[in-house]
Amino acid sequence: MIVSISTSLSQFIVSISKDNEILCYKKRERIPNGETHIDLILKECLEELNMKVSDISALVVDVGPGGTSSVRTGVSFANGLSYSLDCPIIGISSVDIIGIENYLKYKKSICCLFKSVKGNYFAGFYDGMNTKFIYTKVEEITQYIRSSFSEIVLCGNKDIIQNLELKLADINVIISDIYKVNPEILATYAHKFLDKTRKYPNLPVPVTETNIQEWS
Amino acid sequence: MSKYILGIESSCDDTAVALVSQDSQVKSSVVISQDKIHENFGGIYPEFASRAHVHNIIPSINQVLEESCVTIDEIEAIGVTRGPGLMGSLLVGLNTATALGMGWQKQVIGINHLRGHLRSAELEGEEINYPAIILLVSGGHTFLAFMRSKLDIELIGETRDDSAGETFDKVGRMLGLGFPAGPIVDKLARKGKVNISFPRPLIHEGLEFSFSGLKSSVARYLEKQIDAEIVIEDVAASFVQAVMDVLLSKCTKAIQQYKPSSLVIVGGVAASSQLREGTEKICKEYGIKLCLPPIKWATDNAAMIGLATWDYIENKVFPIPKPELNILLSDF
Repeated sequence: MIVSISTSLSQFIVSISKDNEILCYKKRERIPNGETHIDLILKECLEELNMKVSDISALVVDVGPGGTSSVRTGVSFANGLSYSLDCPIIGISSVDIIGIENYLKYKKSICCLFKSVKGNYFAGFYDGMNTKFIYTKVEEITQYIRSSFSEIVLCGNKDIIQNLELKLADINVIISDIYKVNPEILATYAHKFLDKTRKYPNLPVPVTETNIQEWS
Repeated sequence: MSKYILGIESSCDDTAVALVSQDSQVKSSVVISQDKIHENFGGIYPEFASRAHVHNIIPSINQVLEESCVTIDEIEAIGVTRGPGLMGSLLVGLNTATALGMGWQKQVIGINHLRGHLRSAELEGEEINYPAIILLVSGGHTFLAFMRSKLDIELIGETRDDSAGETFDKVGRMLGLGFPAGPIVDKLARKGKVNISFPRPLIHEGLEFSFSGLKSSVARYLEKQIDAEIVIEDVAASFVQAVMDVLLSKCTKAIQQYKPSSLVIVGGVAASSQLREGTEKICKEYGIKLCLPPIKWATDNAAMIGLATWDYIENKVFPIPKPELNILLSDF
Protein backbone atom coordinates (compact mmCIF):
# COMPACT_ATOMS: atom_id res chain seq x y z
CA MET A 1 0.00 0.00 0.00
CA ILE A 2 1.49 3.35 -1.04
CA VAL A 3 0.65 6.49 0.92
CA SER A 4 1.13 9.80 -0.88
CA ILE A 5 1.22 13.08 1.04
CA SER A 6 1.02 16.62 -0.28
CA THR A 7 0.91 19.68 1.98
CA SER A 8 2.69 22.25 -0.15
CA LEU A 9 -0.08 24.33 -1.75
CA SER A 10 -2.68 25.45 0.79
CA GLN A 11 -4.25 22.01 0.95
CA PHE A 12 -3.36 18.88 2.92
CA ILE A 13 -3.77 15.69 0.89
CA VAL A 14 -3.39 12.02 1.74
CA SER A 15 -4.02 9.47 -0.98
CA ILE A 16 -3.66 5.72 -0.75
CA SER A 17 -3.12 3.37 -3.66
CA LYS A 18 -2.29 -0.29 -4.19
CA ASP A 19 -1.36 -2.16 -7.38
CA ASN A 20 -2.13 0.91 -9.52
CA GLU A 21 -5.59 1.25 -7.98
CA ILE A 22 -6.69 4.31 -5.94
CA LEU A 23 -8.10 3.04 -2.65
CA CYS A 24 -8.88 6.32 -0.95
CA TYR A 25 -7.98 9.99 -0.83
CA LYS A 26 -8.81 12.92 1.40
CA LYS A 27 -8.19 16.62 0.96
CA ARG A 28 -8.49 19.45 3.53
CA GLU A 29 -7.90 23.15 3.10
CA ARG A 30 -4.91 24.09 5.23
CA ILE A 31 -5.60 26.18 8.32
CA PRO A 32 -2.65 28.38 9.35
CA ASN A 33 -0.72 27.90 12.61
CA GLY A 34 -0.40 24.15 12.45
CA GLU A 35 -4.08 23.47 13.15
CA THR A 36 -4.44 21.02 10.26
CA HIS A 37 -3.12 17.65 11.33
CA ILE A 38 -1.85 15.48 8.51
CA ASP A 39 -1.76 12.49 10.90
CA LEU A 40 -5.50 12.75 11.52
CA ILE A 41 -6.20 12.79 7.78
CA LEU A 42 -4.06 9.66 7.35
CA LYS A 43 -5.85 7.97 10.30
CA GLU A 44 -9.23 8.73 8.71
CA CYS A 45 -8.10 7.15 5.45
CA LEU A 46 -6.77 4.04 7.20
CA GLU A 47 -9.94 3.66 9.27
CA GLU A 48 -12.08 3.96 6.15
CA LEU A 49 -10.05 1.21 4.48
CA ASN A 50 -9.89 -0.84 7.67
CA MET A 51 -6.10 -0.91 7.37
CA LYS A 52 -3.22 -0.39 9.80
CA VAL A 53 -0.22 1.92 9.66
CA SER A 54 1.99 -1.15 9.34
CA ASP A 55 0.27 -1.94 6.01
CA ILE A 56 2.09 1.03 4.46
CA SER A 57 4.82 -0.30 2.17
CA ALA A 58 6.07 2.96 0.63
CA LEU A 59 5.61 6.71 0.81
CA VAL A 60 5.52 9.53 -1.71
CA VAL A 61 5.78 13.09 -0.46
CA ASP A 62 5.41 16.43 -2.22
CA VAL A 63 8.56 18.48 -1.50
CA GLY A 64 7.30 21.72 -3.05
CA PRO A 65 7.70 24.39 -4.29
CA GLY A 66 5.05 25.66 -1.92
CA GLY A 67 4.53 27.34 1.44
CA THR A 68 7.67 26.86 3.53
CA SER A 69 6.08 25.70 6.79
CA SER A 70 3.46 23.60 5.06
CA VAL A 71 6.02 21.80 2.88
CA ARG A 72 8.08 21.00 5.98
CA THR A 73 5.00 19.72 7.80
CA GLY A 74 4.39 17.07 5.12
CA VAL A 75 8.06 16.22 4.60
CA SER A 76 8.80 15.88 8.35
CA PHE A 77 5.75 13.70 8.86
CA ALA A 78 6.50 11.49 5.85
CA ASN A 79 10.16 11.10 6.80
CA GLY A 80 9.23 10.17 10.38
CA LEU A 81 6.77 7.58 9.07
CA SER A 82 9.30 6.21 6.61
CA TYR A 83 11.91 5.89 9.37
CA SER A 84 9.62 4.28 11.92
CA LEU A 85 8.11 1.82 9.43
CA ASP A 86 11.45 1.25 7.71
CA CYS A 87 9.82 1.68 4.32
CA PRO A 88 11.04 3.55 1.22
CA ILE A 89 10.08 7.14 0.52
CA ILE A 90 10.45 9.38 -2.48
CA GLY A 91 10.17 13.16 -2.62
CA ILE A 92 8.53 14.58 -5.72
CA SER A 93 7.95 18.12 -6.87
CA SER A 94 4.53 19.76 -6.81
CA VAL A 95 5.36 20.91 -10.34
CA ASP A 96 5.62 17.25 -11.41
CA ILE A 97 2.13 16.51 -10.12
CA ILE A 98 0.55 19.67 -11.54
CA GLY A 99 2.56 19.26 -14.76
CA ILE A 100 1.32 15.71 -15.30
CA GLU A 101 -2.32 16.75 -15.02
CA ASN A 102 -1.83 19.67 -17.39
CA TYR A 103 0.16 17.51 -19.81
CA LEU A 104 -2.59 14.88 -19.88
CA LYS A 105 -5.03 17.62 -20.86
CA TYR A 106 -2.94 19.71 -23.30
CA LYS A 107 -0.04 17.45 -24.45
CA LYS A 108 2.20 20.52 -24.56
CA SER A 109 5.07 21.95 -22.51
CA ILE A 110 3.89 23.26 -19.17
CA CYS A 111 5.16 26.16 -17.06
CA CYS A 112 4.00 26.40 -13.43
CA LEU A 113 4.68 29.77 -11.84
CA PHE A 114 4.80 30.42 -8.12
CA LYS A 115 5.54 33.71 -6.42
CA SER A 116 8.55 33.62 -4.13
CA VAL A 117 10.32 36.31 -2.09
CA LYS A 118 12.17 39.52 -3.05
CA GLY A 119 10.40 39.82 -6.43
CA ASN A 120 11.53 36.36 -7.55
CA TYR A 121 9.42 33.58 -8.99
CA PHE A 122 9.69 29.83 -9.16
CA ALA A 123 9.07 28.60 -12.69
CA GLY A 124 8.80 24.85 -13.06
CA PHE A 125 8.80 23.47 -16.61
CA TYR A 126 7.35 20.05 -17.35
CA ASP A 127 7.32 18.37 -20.76
CA GLY A 128 5.90 14.92 -20.00
CA MET A 129 9.30 13.54 -19.04
CA ASN A 130 11.54 16.05 -17.36
CA THR A 131 11.12 18.86 -14.88
CA LYS A 132 13.31 21.92 -14.93
CA PHE A 133 13.33 24.77 -12.42
CA ILE A 134 14.20 28.42 -12.80
CA TYR A 135 14.23 30.74 -9.81
CA THR A 136 14.60 34.34 -10.90
CA LYS A 137 12.85 37.62 -11.86
CA VAL A 138 9.83 37.47 -14.17
CA GLU A 139 11.76 39.24 -16.99
CA GLU A 140 14.32 36.44 -17.15
CA ILE A 141 11.61 33.79 -17.07
CA THR A 142 9.91 35.58 -19.99
CA GLN A 143 13.20 35.59 -21.88
CA TYR A 144 13.75 31.89 -21.23
CA ILE A 145 10.26 30.93 -22.45
CA ARG A 146 10.63 33.05 -25.60
CA SER A 147 13.94 31.48 -26.51
CA SER A 148 12.93 27.90 -25.73
CA PHE A 149 9.27 27.45 -26.70
CA SER A 150 6.92 28.33 -29.55
CA GLU A 151 3.94 27.20 -27.51
CA ILE A 152 3.45 26.90 -23.75
CA VAL A 153 0.75 26.17 -21.18
CA LEU A 154 0.93 28.53 -18.20
CA CYS A 155 -0.44 27.68 -14.76
CA GLY A 156 0.13 28.84 -11.19
CA ASN A 157 -0.60 32.15 -9.44
CA LYS A 158 -3.29 33.78 -11.61
CA ASP A 159 -2.14 37.41 -11.54
CA ILE A 160 1.42 36.43 -12.45
CA ILE A 161 0.51 34.24 -15.40
CA GLN A 162 -1.85 36.89 -16.78
CA ASN A 163 0.96 39.42 -16.56
CA LEU A 164 3.35 36.97 -18.22
CA GLU A 165 0.87 36.21 -21.01
CA LEU A 166 0.97 39.89 -22.07
CA LYS A 167 4.76 39.72 -22.39
CA LEU A 168 4.61 36.55 -24.52
CA ALA A 169 2.55 37.94 -27.39
CA ASP A 170 4.89 36.39 -29.97
CA ILE A 171 4.33 32.77 -28.91
CA ASN A 172 1.22 30.64 -28.49
CA VAL A 173 0.15 30.76 -24.84
CA ILE A 174 -2.56 28.66 -23.23
CA ILE A 175 -3.74 29.60 -19.74
CA SER A 176 -4.64 26.61 -17.61
CA ASP A 177 -6.76 26.64 -14.47
CA ILE A 178 -5.07 23.49 -13.12
CA TYR A 179 -2.61 24.87 -10.58
CA LYS A 180 -3.08 22.75 -7.47
CA VAL A 181 -2.06 19.21 -6.62
CA ASN A 182 -4.77 16.73 -7.60
CA PRO A 183 -5.00 13.81 -5.13
CA GLU A 184 -6.10 11.43 -7.88
CA ILE A 185 -3.01 12.21 -9.97
CA LEU A 186 -0.86 11.85 -6.86
CA ALA A 187 -2.30 8.39 -6.14
CA THR A 188 -2.32 7.24 -9.76
CA TYR A 189 1.32 8.12 -10.36
CA ALA A 190 2.67 7.17 -6.91
CA HIS A 191 4.04 3.80 -8.04
CA LYS A 192 5.79 5.44 -11.00
CA PHE A 193 7.44 8.00 -8.76
CA LEU A 194 8.58 5.18 -6.49
CA ASP A 195 10.59 3.61 -9.30
CA LYS A 196 13.17 6.25 -8.45
CA THR A 197 13.13 5.43 -4.72
CA ARG A 198 15.97 6.11 -2.37
CA LYS A 199 15.64 5.90 1.38
CA TYR A 200 14.99 9.20 3.21
CA PRO A 201 15.77 11.30 0.11
CA ASN A 202 15.34 14.67 1.72
CA LEU A 203 17.33 14.04 4.79
CA PRO A 204 20.72 12.87 5.71
CA VAL A 205 22.53 15.71 4.02
CA PRO A 206 24.68 17.19 6.77
CA VAL A 207 24.43 20.95 7.06
CA THR A 208 27.72 22.23 5.72
CA GLU A 209 29.01 25.53 4.46
CA THR A 210 28.58 24.39 0.85
CA ASN A 211 24.83 23.98 0.97
CA ILE A 212 24.31 27.24 2.85
CA GLN A 213 25.23 29.08 -0.34
CA GLU A 214 22.62 27.19 -2.27
CA TRP A 215 19.96 28.19 0.26
CA SER A 216 20.68 31.87 0.26
CA MET B 1 13.50 -4.09 31.18
CA SER B 2 14.50 -0.41 31.54
CA LYS B 3 12.23 2.07 29.90
CA TYR B 4 13.26 5.29 28.21
CA ILE B 5 11.66 8.45 26.88
CA LEU B 6 12.72 9.55 23.43
CA GLY B 7 13.00 13.32 23.86
CA ILE B 8 12.94 15.58 20.78
CA GLU B 9 13.76 19.30 20.88
CA SER B 10 13.58 21.60 17.84
CA SER B 11 12.14 24.81 19.26
CA CYS B 12 14.86 27.18 18.07
CA ASP B 13 18.17 26.59 16.30
CA ASP B 14 19.47 23.32 17.72
CA THR B 15 18.20 19.90 16.68
CA ALA B 16 18.36 17.65 19.72
CA VAL B 17 17.34 14.06 20.46
CA ALA B 18 17.96 12.03 23.63
CA LEU B 19 16.94 8.90 25.49
CA VAL B 20 16.33 9.38 29.22
CA SER B 21 15.35 6.86 31.89
CA GLN B 22 12.91 7.59 34.72
CA ASP B 23 15.79 7.92 37.21
CA SER B 24 17.15 10.80 35.07
CA GLN B 25 20.01 8.86 33.48
CA VAL B 26 20.81 10.00 29.94
CA LYS B 27 21.40 6.91 27.82
CA SER B 28 22.31 8.92 24.72
CA SER B 29 22.05 12.54 23.61
CA VAL B 30 22.72 14.31 20.33
CA VAL B 31 22.63 18.07 19.74
CA ILE B 32 23.28 19.41 16.24
CA SER B 33 24.14 23.09 16.40
CA GLN B 34 23.23 25.51 13.61
CA ASP B 35 25.64 28.27 14.65
CA LYS B 36 27.52 28.05 11.34
CA ILE B 37 24.31 28.66 9.40
CA HIS B 38 23.26 31.71 11.37
CA GLU B 39 26.59 33.42 12.04
CA ASN B 40 26.45 35.49 8.84
CA PHE B 41 23.07 36.92 9.83
CA GLY B 42 24.08 38.03 13.32
CA GLY B 43 21.13 36.14 14.76
CA ILE B 44 18.84 33.20 14.13
CA TYR B 45 17.27 33.15 10.67
CA PRO B 46 14.00 31.24 11.27
CA GLU B 47 13.59 29.86 7.74
CA PHE B 48 17.08 28.39 7.68
CA ALA B 49 16.64 27.05 11.21
CA SER B 50 13.52 25.15 10.18
CA ARG B 51 15.14 23.83 6.99
CA ALA B 52 18.18 22.59 8.88
CA HIS B 53 15.91 20.79 11.37
CA VAL B 54 14.35 18.86 8.46
CA HIS B 55 17.83 17.80 7.36
CA ASN B 56 19.10 16.90 10.82
CA ILE B 57 16.24 15.38 12.75
CA ILE B 58 16.08 11.81 11.35
CA PRO B 59 19.88 11.36 11.38
CA SER B 60 19.88 12.56 15.02
CA ILE B 61 17.15 10.07 16.01
CA ASN B 62 19.01 7.34 14.16
CA GLN B 63 22.29 8.20 15.88
CA VAL B 64 20.74 8.20 19.36
CA LEU B 65 19.12 4.78 18.81
CA GLU B 66 22.26 3.26 17.29
CA GLU B 67 24.60 4.61 19.97
CA SER B 68 22.41 3.49 22.85
CA CYS B 69 21.37 0.10 21.40
CA VAL B 70 17.94 0.81 22.92
CA THR B 71 15.18 -1.07 21.10
CA ILE B 72 11.81 0.40 20.15
CA ASP B 73 10.17 -1.86 22.77
CA GLU B 74 12.19 -0.09 25.46
CA ILE B 75 10.75 3.31 24.54
CA GLU B 76 7.92 4.20 26.93
CA ALA B 77 6.78 7.32 25.05
CA ILE B 78 8.01 10.19 22.88
CA GLY B 79 8.25 13.68 24.40
CA VAL B 80 8.55 16.56 21.97
CA THR B 81 8.78 20.32 22.57
CA ARG B 82 5.46 21.99 21.66
CA GLY B 83 6.46 25.55 22.63
CA PRO B 84 7.46 28.26 23.19
CA GLY B 85 9.67 28.58 20.13
CA LEU B 86 9.78 29.37 16.42
CA MET B 87 6.72 28.03 14.59
CA GLY B 88 8.64 26.60 11.61
CA SER B 89 11.16 24.88 13.87
CA LEU B 90 8.55 23.46 16.25
CA LEU B 91 6.53 22.01 13.36
CA VAL B 92 9.46 19.88 12.21
CA GLY B 93 9.95 18.23 15.62
CA LEU B 94 6.23 17.86 16.26
CA ASN B 95 5.40 16.29 12.90
CA THR B 96 8.39 13.96 13.00
CA ALA B 97 7.49 12.84 16.54
CA THR B 98 3.84 12.33 15.57
CA ALA B 99 4.86 10.12 12.66
CA LEU B 100 7.29 8.11 14.81
CA GLY B 101 4.51 7.62 17.36
CA MET B 102 2.17 6.36 14.64
CA GLY B 103 4.75 4.03 13.16
CA TRP B 104 6.00 2.62 16.48
CA GLN B 105 2.59 2.74 18.22
CA LYS B 106 3.94 4.97 21.00
CA GLN B 107 2.28 7.82 22.84
CA VAL B 108 3.52 11.27 21.78
CA ILE B 109 3.38 14.03 24.41
CA GLY B 110 3.77 17.75 23.67
CA ILE B 111 6.17 19.19 26.26
CA ASN B 112 6.55 22.74 27.55
CA HIS B 113 10.13 23.72 26.71
CA LEU B 114 10.37 25.87 29.87
CA ARG B 115 9.54 22.91 32.11
CA GLY B 116 12.33 21.06 30.36
CA HIS B 117 14.83 23.79 31.25
CA LEU B 118 13.72 23.78 34.88
CA ARG B 119 14.31 20.03 35.11
CA SER B 120 17.74 20.14 33.44
CA ALA B 121 19.52 20.59 36.80
CA GLU B 122 18.35 17.12 37.91
CA LEU B 123 19.69 15.15 34.95
CA GLU B 124 22.11 12.30 35.58
CA GLY B 125 21.24 11.78 39.23
CA GLU B 126 21.73 15.38 40.42
CA GLU B 127 19.24 16.48 43.04
CA ILE B 128 17.68 19.82 43.86
CA ASN B 129 16.70 20.51 47.48
CA TYR B 130 13.12 21.78 47.31
CA PRO B 131 11.79 24.41 47.66
CA ALA B 132 14.11 26.06 45.16
CA ILE B 133 14.55 29.35 43.37
CA ILE B 134 15.36 28.84 39.70
CA LEU B 135 16.93 31.48 37.48
CA LEU B 136 16.57 30.65 33.78
CA VAL B 137 18.86 32.86 31.72
CA SER B 138 19.14 31.97 28.04
CA GLY B 139 18.94 33.52 24.59
CA GLY B 140 15.17 33.12 24.56
CA HIS B 141 14.16 33.56 28.21
CA THR B 142 15.05 35.28 31.46
CA PHE B 143 12.92 34.60 34.50
CA LEU B 144 12.88 33.60 38.15
CA ALA B 145 10.64 30.78 39.34
CA PHE B 146 9.82 29.33 42.74
CA MET B 147 9.60 25.54 42.69
CA ARG B 148 7.92 23.99 45.74
CA SER B 149 8.43 20.60 44.10
CA LYS B 150 9.35 19.41 40.61
CA LEU B 151 5.68 19.73 39.60
CA ASP B 152 4.63 22.82 41.55
CA ILE B 153 6.16 25.83 39.80
CA GLU B 154 5.36 29.51 40.20
CA LEU B 155 6.72 32.30 38.01
CA ILE B 156 7.92 35.11 40.29
CA GLY B 157 9.63 37.48 37.87
CA GLU B 158 10.42 37.66 34.17
CA THR B 159 11.89 40.05 31.64
CA ARG B 160 9.66 42.79 30.28
CA ASP B 161 11.58 42.91 26.99
CA ASP B 162 14.82 41.22 25.87
CA SER B 163 16.34 38.16 27.48
CA ALA B 164 19.80 38.37 29.07
CA GLY B 165 21.29 35.93 26.53
CA GLU B 166 19.88 37.90 23.60
CA THR B 167 21.42 41.07 25.08
CA PHE B 168 24.81 39.34 25.33
CA ASP B 169 24.57 38.28 21.67
CA LYS B 170 23.45 41.72 20.48
CA VAL B 171 26.16 43.57 22.37
CA GLY B 172 28.64 41.06 20.95
CA ARG B 173 27.36 41.85 17.46
CA MET B 174 27.81 45.60 18.12
CA LEU B 175 31.40 44.83 19.08
CA GLY B 176 31.88 42.86 15.85
CA LEU B 177 32.24 39.50 17.56
CA GLY B 178 29.95 37.49 15.24
CA PHE B 179 27.19 35.10 16.33
CA PRO B 180 26.64 33.68 18.87
CA ALA B 181 28.83 36.21 20.69
CA GLY B 182 27.64 35.68 24.27
CA PRO B 183 30.47 33.33 25.32
CA ILE B 184 33.10 35.62 23.70
CA VAL B 185 31.69 38.70 25.48
CA ASP B 186 31.90 36.80 28.77
CA LYS B 187 35.50 35.76 28.06
CA LEU B 188 36.60 39.27 27.00
CA ALA B 189 34.95 40.76 30.08
CA ARG B 190 37.43 38.93 32.31
CA LYS B 191 40.32 40.82 30.66
CA GLY B 192 38.75 44.28 30.79
CA LYS B 193 38.15 46.99 33.39
CA VAL B 194 34.74 48.03 34.64
CA ASN B 195 35.18 51.71 33.80
CA ILE B 196 32.02 52.61 31.82
CA SER B 197 28.85 53.44 33.68
CA PHE B 198 26.03 51.41 32.07
CA PRO B 199 22.56 51.36 33.68
CA ARG B 200 21.27 48.51 35.87
CA PRO B 201 17.59 48.48 34.75
CA LEU B 202 14.91 47.74 37.38
CA ILE B 203 17.59 46.77 39.91
CA HIS B 204 15.59 48.22 42.82
CA GLU B 205 12.15 47.15 41.58
CA GLY B 206 10.72 43.73 42.44
CA LEU B 207 11.82 40.57 40.68
CA GLU B 208 11.25 41.64 37.08
CA PHE B 209 14.01 42.22 34.53
CA SER B 210 14.54 44.57 31.61
CA PHE B 211 17.58 44.53 29.33
CA SER B 212 16.62 46.56 26.25
CA GLY B 213 17.67 49.87 27.89
CA LEU B 214 21.06 48.45 28.76
CA LYS B 215 21.51 47.24 25.18
CA SER B 216 20.60 50.71 23.84
CA SER B 217 22.97 52.30 26.32
CA VAL B 218 25.89 50.19 24.99
CA ALA B 219 24.87 51.12 21.41
CA ARG B 220 24.79 54.86 22.28
CA TYR B 221 28.16 54.64 24.01
CA LEU B 222 29.73 52.99 20.93
CA GLU B 223 28.14 55.56 18.58
CA LYS B 224 29.69 58.42 20.56
CA GLN B 225 33.23 57.01 20.37
CA ILE B 226 33.80 58.25 16.80
CA ASP B 227 37.40 59.34 17.17
CA ALA B 228 38.25 57.64 20.43
CA GLU B 229 39.71 54.17 20.51
CA ILE B 230 37.24 51.62 21.84
CA VAL B 231 38.67 49.10 24.28
CA ILE B 232 36.38 46.15 23.57
CA GLU B 233 37.45 44.34 26.75
CA ASP B 234 36.42 47.34 28.90
CA VAL B 235 33.04 47.65 27.15
CA ALA B 236 32.47 43.91 27.64
CA ALA B 237 33.56 44.04 31.30
CA SER B 238 31.34 47.04 32.08
CA PHE B 239 28.37 45.51 30.26
CA VAL B 240 28.74 42.07 31.88
CA GLN B 241 29.07 43.70 35.31
CA ALA B 242 25.80 45.59 34.75
CA VAL B 243 24.00 42.36 33.75
CA MET B 244 25.50 40.43 36.67
CA ASP B 245 24.56 43.14 39.19
CA VAL B 246 20.94 42.88 38.03
CA LEU B 247 20.81 39.06 37.94
CA LEU B 248 22.54 38.63 41.31
CA SER B 249 20.51 41.31 43.06
CA LYS B 250 17.26 39.67 41.85
CA CYS B 251 18.46 36.24 43.02
CA THR B 252 19.29 37.69 46.45
CA LYS B 253 15.87 39.35 46.68
CA ALA B 254 14.11 36.11 45.70
CA ILE B 255 16.09 34.13 48.31
CA GLN B 256 15.21 36.68 51.02
CA GLN B 257 11.55 36.62 50.04
CA TYR B 258 10.97 32.89 49.46
CA LYS B 259 13.59 31.30 51.77
CA PRO B 260 14.44 28.35 49.47
CA SER B 261 16.75 25.42 50.21
CA SER B 262 18.58 25.78 46.91
CA LEU B 263 19.29 28.17 44.06
CA VAL B 264 19.34 26.68 40.57
CA ILE B 265 20.82 28.43 37.54
CA VAL B 266 19.90 27.08 34.09
CA GLY B 267 20.02 28.33 30.48
CA GLY B 268 22.92 29.25 28.22
CA VAL B 269 24.05 32.23 30.34
CA ALA B 270 24.59 29.77 33.22
CA ALA B 271 27.89 29.08 31.46
CA SER B 272 29.08 32.58 32.42
CA SER B 273 31.97 32.33 34.86
CA GLN B 274 30.96 35.64 36.48
CA LEU B 275 27.44 34.35 37.12
CA ARG B 276 28.78 31.09 38.56
CA GLU B 277 31.14 32.91 40.92
CA GLY B 278 28.50 35.46 41.96
CA THR B 279 25.81 32.90 42.72
CA GLU B 280 28.31 30.76 44.65
CA LYS B 281 28.96 33.72 46.97
CA ILE B 282 25.24 34.36 47.50
CA CYS B 283 24.52 30.71 48.30
CA LYS B 284 27.39 30.60 50.80
CA GLU B 285 26.07 33.74 52.48
CA TYR B 286 22.53 32.32 52.84
CA GLY B 287 23.63 28.74 53.53
CA ILE B 288 21.70 27.16 50.67
CA LYS B 289 22.68 24.66 47.99
CA LEU B 290 23.75 25.96 44.55
CA CYS B 291 22.75 23.72 41.65
CA LEU B 292 24.53 24.41 38.40
CA PRO B 293 23.95 21.81 35.69
CA PRO B 294 26.88 20.98 33.39
CA ILE B 295 27.03 23.37 30.42
CA LYS B 296 25.78 20.66 28.04
CA TRP B 297 22.48 20.51 29.95
CA ALA B 298 22.27 24.28 30.52
CA THR B 299 21.66 25.10 26.86
CA ASP B 300 18.86 23.64 24.68
CA ASN B 301 18.97 19.84 24.67
CA ALA B 302 16.54 16.94 24.41
CA ALA B 303 17.55 15.16 27.64
CA MET B 304 15.74 17.84 29.66
CA ILE B 305 12.65 17.33 27.47
CA GLY B 306 12.91 13.59 28.08
CA LEU B 307 13.12 14.07 31.87
CA ALA B 308 10.19 16.51 31.86
CA THR B 309 8.16 13.94 29.88
CA TRP B 310 8.42 11.52 32.83
CA ASP B 311 6.78 14.25 35.00
CA TYR B 312 3.89 14.46 32.54
CA ILE B 313 3.41 10.68 32.65
CA GLU B 314 3.60 10.70 36.48
CA ASN B 315 1.03 13.49 36.62
CA LYS B 316 -1.12 11.85 33.90
CA VAL B 317 -1.09 14.97 31.73
CA PHE B 318 -0.81 14.29 28.02
CA PRO B 319 -0.94 17.47 25.88
CA ILE B 320 -1.23 16.70 22.17
CA PRO B 321 1.83 17.41 20.02
CA LYS B 322 0.55 20.67 18.53
CA PRO B 323 2.54 23.94 18.43
CA GLU B 324 1.79 26.41 21.21
CA LEU B 325 3.77 29.63 20.99
CA ASN B 326 2.45 31.44 24.07
CA ILE B 327 2.70 28.68 26.60
CA LEU B 328 3.12 29.74 30.24
CA LEU B 329 5.67 28.42 32.70
CA SER B 330 2.93 27.05 34.96
CA ASP B 331 1.31 25.16 32.06
CA PHE B 332 2.03 21.51 31.58
